[in-house]
Amino acid sequence: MRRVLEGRELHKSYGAVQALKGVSLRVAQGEVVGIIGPNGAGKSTLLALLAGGTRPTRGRVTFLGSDITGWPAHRVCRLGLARTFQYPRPLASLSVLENVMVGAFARLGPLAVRQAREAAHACLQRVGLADAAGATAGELCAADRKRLELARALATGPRLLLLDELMAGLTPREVKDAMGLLLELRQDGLTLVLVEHVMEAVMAMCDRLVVLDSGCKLCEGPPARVGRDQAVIRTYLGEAYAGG
Amino acid sequence: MGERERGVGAHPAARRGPPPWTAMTGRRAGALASKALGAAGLALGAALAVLPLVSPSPYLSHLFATFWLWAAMSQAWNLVGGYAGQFSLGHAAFFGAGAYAAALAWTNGLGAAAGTALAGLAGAVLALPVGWLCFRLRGAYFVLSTLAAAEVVRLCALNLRGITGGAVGILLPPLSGGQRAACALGLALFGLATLTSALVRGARLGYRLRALREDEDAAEAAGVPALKSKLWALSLSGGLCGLAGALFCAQTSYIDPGSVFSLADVSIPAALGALLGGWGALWGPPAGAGGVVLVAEAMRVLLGRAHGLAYGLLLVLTVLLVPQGFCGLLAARRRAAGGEAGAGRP
Repeated sequence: MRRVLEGRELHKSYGAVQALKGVSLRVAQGEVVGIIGPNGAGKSTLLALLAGGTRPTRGRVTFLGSDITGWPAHRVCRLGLARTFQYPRPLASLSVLENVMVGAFARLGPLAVRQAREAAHACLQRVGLADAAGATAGELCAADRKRLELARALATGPRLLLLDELMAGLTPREVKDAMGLLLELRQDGLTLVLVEHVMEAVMAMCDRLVVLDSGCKLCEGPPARVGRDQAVIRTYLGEAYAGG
Repeated sequence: MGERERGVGAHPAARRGPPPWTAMTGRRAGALASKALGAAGLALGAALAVLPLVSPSPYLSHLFATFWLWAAMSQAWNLVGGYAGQFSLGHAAFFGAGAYAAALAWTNGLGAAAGTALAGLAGAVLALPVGWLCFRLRGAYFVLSTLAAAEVVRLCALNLRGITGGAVGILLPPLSGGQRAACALGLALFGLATLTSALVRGARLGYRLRALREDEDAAEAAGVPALKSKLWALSLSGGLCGLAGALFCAQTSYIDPGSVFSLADVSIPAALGALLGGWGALWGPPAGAGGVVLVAEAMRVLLGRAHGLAYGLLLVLTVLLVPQGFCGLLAARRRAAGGEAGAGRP
């Protein structure tokens, strides 16, 4: 299958702290890849390097054949790689619809307000937030903020979505909804990379898992195999998921 | 009607569900009231706009010329300071650059229109390097850097004596048509500034600027080119300030670096109008500028030399008591009363 995103030997240091020590990652078209690992393993750092705006200390990132290492986030976004943030970042004083319109404008001309509004409505419908279109984004509840985060990213028309702990803090019911939505997106041809702690979701959805620990890649493979890996069980999973 | 009527629908708690009937009628009454208010405001504005143009009093014309000038400046400032949330205290740089461009063009024999166009261009072009440097910084550092940029431009004007005449300044023949002409030109400039602001607000740039104001990183991740958007805003803003500088130059017939590059007399009033009236809203800045000009004038008449002190105190009190500006206050009350009216949201 066609490779859409690749990170090669990515290093990132913040002063004396090495957050990432040479991690490589390949994502193929249409794949769902999960990045898991204990807190401080470097998952969010890896995501930041892939999404642009943060330059790796060493290593390269390529997306759809372009070397995007150190590109500003907005250029990466317009190339087709959108992200959500771990802690949702609504544009608080704007309405929910306006939030999503900002994303839709990534692919629209300076005066295409009507098209942006329509595209935003479609995205809100998709994530189940259409009823709240007129609400002020800062007043949404936590689960709706996550929905908004996803809608804004979707509105930018991505080929690949980076989702940073989309399901953290959701109720089991909401996790199920979110999983259904992500599977739908995948059927539409979107490639997904998720950083996630909710293991039910990760195990059920991902084609491949990448396990990080202390800035290094601990192991990589299909969920069933990773779930049996002794090192992964020891450092992260615990016995509950042993045996996949 | 108004307050009480609208009060009926005061708590449409379910924003998502269909609102109860009381809320519907309340909202309709609120919409009607706000429409009537808007029409009344428009009529009042039109009367105010025409009055000084036909009145024989040069004082009234002068007062209104000043008002339109600062209303336009506040409107221009609002593009950057209000929509994009980039609190600039360096707008005197563009104002002064425009004033000098116009003065030099006019004293060197260029026509009125050519000089004015040059002034706008000077402001718009100067905004690019200033923005390119200052937009690297955020928050208080950005404010300080804009202050410094304006100071650098002032020092250039002061020391490039061969071109600007230095501290001596430039004396121009008085504007033909007097204060009444200045007032008409001021009105035209204000119209242009308001039109620009309305267009920006409704277009992609307006959405992007407001997104940047709320959260620059999130906006960038959603495809907003932060630097480019801010430079557009600052350049449009600088161009309008340049035109305002040309008008000031024509109105006063004399400029020097101290007056047109002044922090206290140019940069701060431009920002204050928008802050007092309600930053981010379309009609906030001119309303605030009106307050600033009128209060300053009244204080000068009533208190003589103590006017600066009283004026300052009044400003401090307003900023402390009405931090979102008067239009912001009105919008908040309207929102609280009529549910998601949404109009005038900053």
